Amino acid sequence: MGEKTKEQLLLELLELQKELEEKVQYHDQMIRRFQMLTANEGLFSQIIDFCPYPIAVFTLQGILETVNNAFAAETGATPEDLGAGRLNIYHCIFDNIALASAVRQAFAGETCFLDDLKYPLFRFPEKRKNDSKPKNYRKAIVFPISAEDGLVMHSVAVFTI
Amino acid sequence: MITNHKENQNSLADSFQSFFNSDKEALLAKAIELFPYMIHVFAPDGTTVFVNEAVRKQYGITRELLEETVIGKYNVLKDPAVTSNIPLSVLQRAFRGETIYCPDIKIPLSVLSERFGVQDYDMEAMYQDITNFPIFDDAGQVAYVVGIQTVRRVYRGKEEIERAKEYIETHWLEVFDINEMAKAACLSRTHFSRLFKKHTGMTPHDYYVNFKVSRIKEKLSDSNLSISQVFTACGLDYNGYFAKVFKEKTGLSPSQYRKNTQQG
Repeated sequence: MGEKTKEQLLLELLELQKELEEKVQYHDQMIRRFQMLTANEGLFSQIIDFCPYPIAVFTLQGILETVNNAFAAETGATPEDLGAGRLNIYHCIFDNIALASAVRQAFAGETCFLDDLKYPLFRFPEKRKNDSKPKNYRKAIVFPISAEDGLVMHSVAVFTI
Repeated sequence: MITNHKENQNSLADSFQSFFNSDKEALLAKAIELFPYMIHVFAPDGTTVFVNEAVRKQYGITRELLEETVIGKYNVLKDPAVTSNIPLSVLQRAFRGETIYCPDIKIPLSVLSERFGVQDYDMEAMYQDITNFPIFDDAGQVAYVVGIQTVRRVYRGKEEIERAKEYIETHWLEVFDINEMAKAACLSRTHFSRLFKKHTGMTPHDYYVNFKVSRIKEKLSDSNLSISQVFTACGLDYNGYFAKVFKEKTGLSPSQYRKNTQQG
């Protein structure tokens, strides 16, 4: 086992330099990304709140944790309902096989696109404030949000026309 | 090393928690980042502030390119590829505080491919429904405009057939014209009919009729329209032949179909 030649040492040095450059580049990207995120803090909840389509975030147990303004307007859900865990998505979609299956699949890590739905929010509106007819959101997407350990503790349902 | 970087980047969303004051904000930040629909956020002057992962994945944009050419640089109001599909006056309405729904917009894939250095998007054409809505600040001024894009139709597969399908789905309001379809597919009429059936399992006319029926079904779910208005909106006369075709295809008359769907 002889000593390394100058060329070998130079190659190793170049490799090390490349790795260091990649690391610096990655850290720069991280910093810029977090700067962007913190600069726009509040933006993400606003996107969801102002979105014209109903959005609900729910837990593995089905408890609705957060809903946006469009969902609240369509179903009459109030912050008190959410805080007290009174609204459970499983109770409201038990007769909608496609949606119920999509919710289960989301907690298994799958994203499901649904088409041709018929009044998917129909079971929620017992608390509707007015007599207006429920809107027929024909499409929905249900997707998981993984926690740091990879477990899916929350899923999101978005209903579109 | 590169794999480690990728793993780190994938877990970036997991690190959101420590950067936000509340659990709710952190959860919603993750929801937006992981949202399967493409989301763009623009400043009031049209400059891009944020795009989510779905945009990067759909258009094959690297993080470097995103930071170098998109965030803080790309302006949607100054992009001719956008304004040739959505009139600037319509787009500007969102920046003045309206929610704008732009259905069935053809995405300029060749422009994007050149812009982002992607050789091939593995599709012939893509149409999206785009909803632009404003976010207001406490003073009631537009602070951001958000664009949510959902894919409505994508054409992959044998190029000539995809072109013909795209032609039918774009000209479905017009009278069926096999010659125009064959022309769109750059094939002779006979060769086109044979090839279309081979690849789709149906004749071009059946495809056209089925597409029309699917649009009637879609419009019947809008209870603000009378059945006669639904047919008119689909370029048809309710008292004409197509009401019979609808029943043949669905087993229900249009009014039975509507009743059925409204009962949930």
